Amino acid sequence: MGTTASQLSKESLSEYQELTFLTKQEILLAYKRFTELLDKSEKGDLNVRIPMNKINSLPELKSNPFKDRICRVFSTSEHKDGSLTFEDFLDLLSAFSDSATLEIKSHYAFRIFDFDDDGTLDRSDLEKLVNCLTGETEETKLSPDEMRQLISNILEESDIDKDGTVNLSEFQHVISRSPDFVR
Amino acid sequence: VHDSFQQLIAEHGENEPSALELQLLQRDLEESQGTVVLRRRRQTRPSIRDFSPSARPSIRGYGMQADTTDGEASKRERLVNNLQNLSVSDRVRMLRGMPLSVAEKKELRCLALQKEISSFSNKQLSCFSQLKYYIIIAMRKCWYSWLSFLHSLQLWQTPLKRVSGRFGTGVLSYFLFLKTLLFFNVFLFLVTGAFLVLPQAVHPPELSPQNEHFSGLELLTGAGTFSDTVMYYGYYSNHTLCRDKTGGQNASTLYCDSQQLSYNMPLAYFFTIGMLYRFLLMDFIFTLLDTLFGEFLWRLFSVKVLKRRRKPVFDIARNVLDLIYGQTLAWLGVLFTPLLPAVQILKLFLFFYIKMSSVMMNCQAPRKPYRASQMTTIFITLLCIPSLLGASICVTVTMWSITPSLSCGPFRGLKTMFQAGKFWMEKLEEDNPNLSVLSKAHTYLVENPFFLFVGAGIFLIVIYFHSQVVDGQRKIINLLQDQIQNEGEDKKFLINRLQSIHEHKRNAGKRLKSQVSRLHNHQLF
Repeated sequence: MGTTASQLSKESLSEYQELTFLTKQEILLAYKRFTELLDKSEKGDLNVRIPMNKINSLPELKSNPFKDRICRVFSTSEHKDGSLTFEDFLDLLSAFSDSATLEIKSHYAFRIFDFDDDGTLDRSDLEKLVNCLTGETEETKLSPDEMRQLISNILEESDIDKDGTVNLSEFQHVISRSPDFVR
Repeated sequence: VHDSFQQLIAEHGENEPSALELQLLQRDLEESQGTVVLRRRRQTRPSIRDFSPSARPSIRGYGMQADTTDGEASKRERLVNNLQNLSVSDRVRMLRGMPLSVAEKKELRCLALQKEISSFSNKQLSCFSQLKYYIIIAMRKCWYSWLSFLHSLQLWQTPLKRVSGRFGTGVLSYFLFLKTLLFFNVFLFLVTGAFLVLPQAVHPPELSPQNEHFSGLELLTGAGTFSDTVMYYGYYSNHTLCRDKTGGQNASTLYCDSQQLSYNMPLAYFFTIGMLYRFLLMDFIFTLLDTLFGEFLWRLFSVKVLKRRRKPVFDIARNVLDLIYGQTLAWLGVLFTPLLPAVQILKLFLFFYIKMSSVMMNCQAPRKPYRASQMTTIFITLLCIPSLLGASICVTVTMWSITPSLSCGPFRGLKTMFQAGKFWMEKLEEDNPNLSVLSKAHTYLVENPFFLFVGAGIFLIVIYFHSQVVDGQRKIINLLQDQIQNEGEDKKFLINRLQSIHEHKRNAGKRLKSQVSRLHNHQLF
């Protein structure tokens, strides 16, 4: 812990503490996990980008059905290939941490679920979302009728202005009523 | 509607608008529709909050990492100015709450700080304000490290996270309830410990020496050597800690003669020989046995013998009721056994680990998804209404009407326990006439039931008020939902009209062009 901590300067540590919802120990732990994924040659350089497949090999993300979307949403690369720098990684951890506000969580959840990045959740986004959750195998996939019924139910409950899509405000409204989010 | 709107903008625009601009335009339109909803919010909240509610796209910075057009730069300027004007803690809170990347936030923070520092250096900073500045920064760093420390101290955070991850929020609510009960008992123990146990332990009364050895059986029965310790009410005496002329104990105290304990006990002595301690202990033992048989052996049985594929489900309801039962016993007994909260704390602590390992090994997640926030409310309500209310009624009745025992305890010789308070007030007034105000207050407020009725009445009125407000808010939400729906339909209607007008203009333009060219050709020929 001593050698890795010395590579993250005190100013950046306190800066990250101010800008994210993570505590000092969490940031140091994140740094440790991040540098473990780097090759020997890349160690010591904070601006290096780790490609998506390496990030997805982390045991915490491996079984997550949304791991690709998560990497793409938090990535700041110009090529939109889902590669993450250390700061993007901190962003990810901060949004998922316990102290993050409901607005941050719902904002990023919305972006993760918005598969075509058009700013709303339309029928195709919701279909892809349900398929991610149920899996793509023949036994667990929903039939087209069931899918249609499910999406109509979702839209009936969440779509307040009845335009056939769920925008950010409607999504945040629905999420805030869910008991799992009211802790 | 969404697609046709985008098409319309695309047709009207001279250059190809970027996806970013389309999004921002869409958001602004939604924002203008949302202003009706927002106006109410803005009236009731301070201005800082305006930056975080959902439908404010310009501050959200969605897609701010795109190439900077003029609109973007001015939005950024505004944001930096707003950040500057806030206090440090507000700025930190706002920066954290913005859904931007860390790199973006670093830039914004730098810009905001730069402006602040430049405005600082313009003035002549005196030594004192510099010192103040440094002190504030040092305190802020201390505060952050204190918060990190507190965060790491949270009791049982890792096991709770594991349980909630594997079994869902229903089972988690049971363990959170256990944790809440533990904190209630800690609080109760601190209060009784500080005001009752500690003073008595420090000034032990003189007792005739006992020849009882400590055998292990004491832990089970609660009698024997335990009966002469701070554990039981009989040990306590009522001398006030003031030095009077005799320089020693008050003449009104008597020793508790333990030889008085005989076999046929009148009801008033029921609590003084550890019955409730035994109840508590029995509860603990039975829950242990129940965990062993009910969960562990049942799981082995159902998997091996009955050949079911799934493990049994954790019965949240029964376990919560067990906890409430144990807590009721503790509350009933605290009047006569001041150390009972300590026993309960130990019991709950052990319970947590036992139940945690049992759940992990033996059970699976419940099939019905439980609504966690409602469950917590139900548990706390069940704890308050039958349990706490019942226990406090029992204790109050005991204090008001039952004659305390003549031979031991701090209330010997009084008609009821309640009189002790009255006598103490009278004695206080005797000793120090300046405090007569306090004793008059005691007479009118504590002893007079009228005040209690008035207090309860005011409480009920406040509750009624709040429930009416909640009702009204519910009606307003329904009205606003209808309004949003209507505005969505208006939007559709207007877009259709715009489209038809646009078509009309285009056709009119085409017709004009073809007419002009025909005329032109006509003229030529």
